[in-house]
Amino acid sequence: MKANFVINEQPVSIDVEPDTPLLWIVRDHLGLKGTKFGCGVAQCGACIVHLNGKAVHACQVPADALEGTNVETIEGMTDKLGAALKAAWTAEQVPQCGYCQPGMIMNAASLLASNPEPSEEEIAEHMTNICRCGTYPRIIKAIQRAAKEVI
Amino acid sequence: MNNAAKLSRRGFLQAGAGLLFTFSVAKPGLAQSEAEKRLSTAFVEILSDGTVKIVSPASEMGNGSLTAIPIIVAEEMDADWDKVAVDFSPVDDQTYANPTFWHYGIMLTAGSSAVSGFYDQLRQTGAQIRKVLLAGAADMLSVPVGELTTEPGMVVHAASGQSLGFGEVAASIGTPEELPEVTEDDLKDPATFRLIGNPDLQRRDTPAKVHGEDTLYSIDVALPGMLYATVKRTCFINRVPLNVPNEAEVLALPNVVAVTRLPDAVAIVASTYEAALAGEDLLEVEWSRAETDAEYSSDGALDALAETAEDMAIEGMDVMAMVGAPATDFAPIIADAVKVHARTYKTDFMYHAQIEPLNAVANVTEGGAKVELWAGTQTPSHLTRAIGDALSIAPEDITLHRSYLGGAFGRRAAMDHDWALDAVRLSQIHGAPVKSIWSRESDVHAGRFRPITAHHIQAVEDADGTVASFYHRVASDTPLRMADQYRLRSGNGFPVITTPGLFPSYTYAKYKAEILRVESDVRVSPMRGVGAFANVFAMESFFDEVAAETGTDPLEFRRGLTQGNERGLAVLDKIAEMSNWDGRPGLGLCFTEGRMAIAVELDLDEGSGAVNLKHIWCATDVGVVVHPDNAENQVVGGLIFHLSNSLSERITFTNGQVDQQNFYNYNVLKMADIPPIDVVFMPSTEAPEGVGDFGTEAVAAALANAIYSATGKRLRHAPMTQDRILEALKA
Ligand code: FES
Ligand code: FES
Repeated sequence: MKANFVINEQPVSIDVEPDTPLLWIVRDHLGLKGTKFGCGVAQCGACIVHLNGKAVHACQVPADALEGTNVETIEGMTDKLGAALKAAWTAEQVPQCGYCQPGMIMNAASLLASNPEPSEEEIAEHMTNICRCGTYPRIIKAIQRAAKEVI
Repeated sequence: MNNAAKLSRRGFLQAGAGLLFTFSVAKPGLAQSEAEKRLSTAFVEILSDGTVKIVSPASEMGNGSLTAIPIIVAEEMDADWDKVAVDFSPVDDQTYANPTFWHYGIMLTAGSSAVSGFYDQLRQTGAQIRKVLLAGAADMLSVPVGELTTEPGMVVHAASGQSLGFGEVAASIGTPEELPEVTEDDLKDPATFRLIGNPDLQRRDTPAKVHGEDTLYSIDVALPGMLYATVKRTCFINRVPLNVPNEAEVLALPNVVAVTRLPDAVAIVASTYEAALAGEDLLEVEWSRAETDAEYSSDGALDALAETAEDMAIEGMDVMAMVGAPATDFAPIIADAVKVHARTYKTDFMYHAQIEPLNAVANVTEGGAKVELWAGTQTPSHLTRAIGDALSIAPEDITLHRSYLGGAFGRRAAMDHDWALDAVRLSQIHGAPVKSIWSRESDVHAGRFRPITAHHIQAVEDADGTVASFYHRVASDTPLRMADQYRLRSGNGFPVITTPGLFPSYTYAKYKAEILRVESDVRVSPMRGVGAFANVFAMESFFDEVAAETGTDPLEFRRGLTQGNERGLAVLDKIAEMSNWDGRPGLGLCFTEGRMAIAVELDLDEGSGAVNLKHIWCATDVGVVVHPDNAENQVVGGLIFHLSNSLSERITFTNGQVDQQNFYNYNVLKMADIPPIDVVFMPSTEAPEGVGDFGTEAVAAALANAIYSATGKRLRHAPMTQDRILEALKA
């Protein structure tokens, strides 16, 4: 089938099997490698992107659900919020291996979009991504720093 | 500190090293252009524009070594950090092997050894280059070298007010035939360090990782005409695929190209990865030895280990004797004892769960004569050896692009690199570049796991009520057998992965540690914290049990056995202060390596057995902290990793099959589970010790001790899952 949608403000039309997860469309068919594969079963959050402005696990969204949608990946996060988050992640020196971090940032962006001043508890409740390197405490600090920046 | 205490994990390793070699030959390890004269050595290259390129032999697996290693060289050179460019070193054991003894001359990044192992060598390297630059500048300015000093990136002649940039000097003198000898006096006084210990230095790999834009990991590499593959194995060593009954059905899936048998695996090769995954879901394989393997259960295996550990008639390897201390016969000590305390502890299989699935991209050309490979490995020279052996080609015919590792934790250290060889073999067979990615299910199922262990520990109480003699017997498989036969052989069979945590952290009266090797066919591996995770869990839990039985405060009990170890006592004082140690319920302690203390505070929901972690404190003396901000990140990360291991991670086998599949039933802690964590590094000018997992595995014992303090119930089996806690509460 052809999947017609907009990604990072670019309209695209991709020829894929209808059940192909958005994750592989983004990574392999469109070559945007910032979105990561970790589990394939909506558990780790490494693949989080925004679909029509909402955080979703790209490993769970099939091609036939993409028609007419608006997808944003870490590469497209260049607005004020995206820039603030990336700057906060750098200032707090969050990443270790770094592999989980694009998914973390995408999920944090969706949190701040709906709750601009989250408490620590609200952050922890929303951020269910896995960081095997254990950077969780710094992620909390980075989200709070970015929140201050954007308000 | 007495000798025994000195033989703590890394103390022993460094003592064993003995030799630290300085490069006297200026080896042009980095690419040199003929057109431009430049100063180029194995670790450093100075370009005429003043750029200083520094390479790190260590793997970047999240540890920050790609920044910390160059910091050490740049410090002693007095380089301008803003002009330093960092990169990985070439793959060459002769030049770049980690000097740490237990690496046996190979390039290995593990056990937090990157900074500690290279520290002295890299300081000398930096000092040599500074000396060369000073001599060159003295010639250029026609002044005595003694009148010159350096400021970051330049040589300064204060008397005349002249200065020369490092780039100018390098362009003038080029690479010397030999690098000069340096002595202690050529090294900087640590009090004058500008880079080492600087809290403001940022990691060099952060921006790329935050932007997610670059091809950092091998999983991101894409080549024209590339095929994708996923691979299935069993959880036992070298089982052979006998039959694929539904091969035709798998081949009929869209975009599946082939079902390919490898020596111990079956691969699904496809033109897209999603097609390969669909093939894996469908694939059925009949394996060799399936019938006998089906008899294996981890519960049964663990019970058998406990029986072995408790059977005092079975003799194992005396660990202290293997490192040159006199052997201890504990039987007469026990026989003469007024009172003997004894307990048995157990730990389960655990899984690395590095978040980047195991993968590699290979392009095999000229019919198998040339290999180009993208892979993230902890042991790059082992990887090229493994490929060379498999394809009967020379190391020069293999080009390895060293990728960042999306986590490793020991899984990507094993010599055979099964996960990378898959890609190489498939590329050779199919005559195309291949990216092979193990699915999470495939990785969880085939492991390699941290092995199950059973520990029987005895302690002897003297007539006056003091307990100062301990005998620790560990029954376990040795992961080194699978991970690195070469190291096992060159270490004369010393099961180095199993021993950490067995070298005494205390000043014992008598001490014996014994390893009873029980081999099985389960695929096992070193995993972060290696043997120390289980050994320290057992020993430091036992300490609290003995303290309770003798009516001693757990902190005082440890202080009593730490006399003479001033650094250790200072750490214990620090943890007491941080945690406000007062014996209140729910507060637990452990002490490890003679230099790290961890306190955990928690309470429990007695109805459900759920743990509510309130706080974790950690005081540690790791010598000089080269890169403090990253060191803090590493220690916190290590504590969280082992906290997760200790509370919720277990791999079990039923009927020869692993019961877990993915993160929905292999439970890794998430943000909401993590309490506030405070880490204090003791001020020090001593040579650095590793940071990334130095001692953090001991958090398991602090947890067990805190649970006991809160409830009076003792958990002797890690992980201390909610169901196990509930069971203990009901007992
Ligand atoms: S890959 Fe989608 S949640 Fe893990
Ligand atoms: S930084 Fe490694 S998994 Fe998060």
